[in-house]
Amino acid sequence: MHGDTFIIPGAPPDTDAALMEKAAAGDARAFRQLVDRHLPRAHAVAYRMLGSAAEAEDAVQEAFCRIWTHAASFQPERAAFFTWAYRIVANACLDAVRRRSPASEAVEDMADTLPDPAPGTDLAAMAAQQSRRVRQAVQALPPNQRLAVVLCYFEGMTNPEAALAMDMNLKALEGLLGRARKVLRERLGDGVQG
Amino acid sequence: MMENEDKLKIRLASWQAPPPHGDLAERIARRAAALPQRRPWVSRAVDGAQRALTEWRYAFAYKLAVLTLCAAAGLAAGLQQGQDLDVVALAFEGPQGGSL
Repeated sequence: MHGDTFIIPGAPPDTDAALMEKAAAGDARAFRQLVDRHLPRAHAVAYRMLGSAAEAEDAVQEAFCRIWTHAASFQPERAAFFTWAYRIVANACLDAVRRRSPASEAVEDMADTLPDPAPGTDLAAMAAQQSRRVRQAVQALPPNQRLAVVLCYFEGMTNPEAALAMDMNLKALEGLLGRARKVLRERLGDGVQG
Repeated sequence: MMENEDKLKIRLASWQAPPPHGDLAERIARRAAALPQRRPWVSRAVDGAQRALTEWRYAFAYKLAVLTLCAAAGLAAGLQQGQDLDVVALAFEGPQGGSL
């Protein structure tokens, strides 16, 4: 390791590109800053893609290891860090989906299958049920459609950003989103008509 | 259309993702830092070429192979060009056709 980052209190934070440049030179502290900055969103993408916190942790760990080992390949003039990084996260999730056996497809987190912790409160029970329905509807989508929905609707990416992150053209992404919307509306039914 | 899109977004937002474990960032950083970093192939190729120019023994087999290929290509081109050339006549008569 060399060229470790020292954080000066009050100084503006380094940009992602600057941190990547340092990480590419072997600076583990700069890389740690990047992990801290992007882990919550990357984990949320992986969780919604895979439907399990344990699998999501494995996928983001795999993705960030790839980011570290391939740090020198990052070209800030060609893509923003977050689109490059989310492409790696998305690929790690799709790899995890492909590696799954068909029997493990339906495995869910225990937290979702346990009874509601406060059965007395109707509102909490309704919210939990609503959340379960959304989760089941999203999880039932084919992996590419699910990824498009996760990036655009849950993570708030624009369509061109999501297309870049998924390494596909805009038309193809819009096609995936259109099909996913139709299926989600059918499955979620009330309140969301096409 | 936009209203339906917004309704769908609101509906989807009811599914919250849990935050990652507190020590996950630490575990990731530790595991990643233990892995070797790969350099892009262009940078590796440039380094290799520079070393090949400065160290005569480096990539000697490749250098020999390239030299042999160049020699073979030169010979083949020379033979192709000189098929109709009477080398003996050229040597004894000179380029202007006069005898020596």
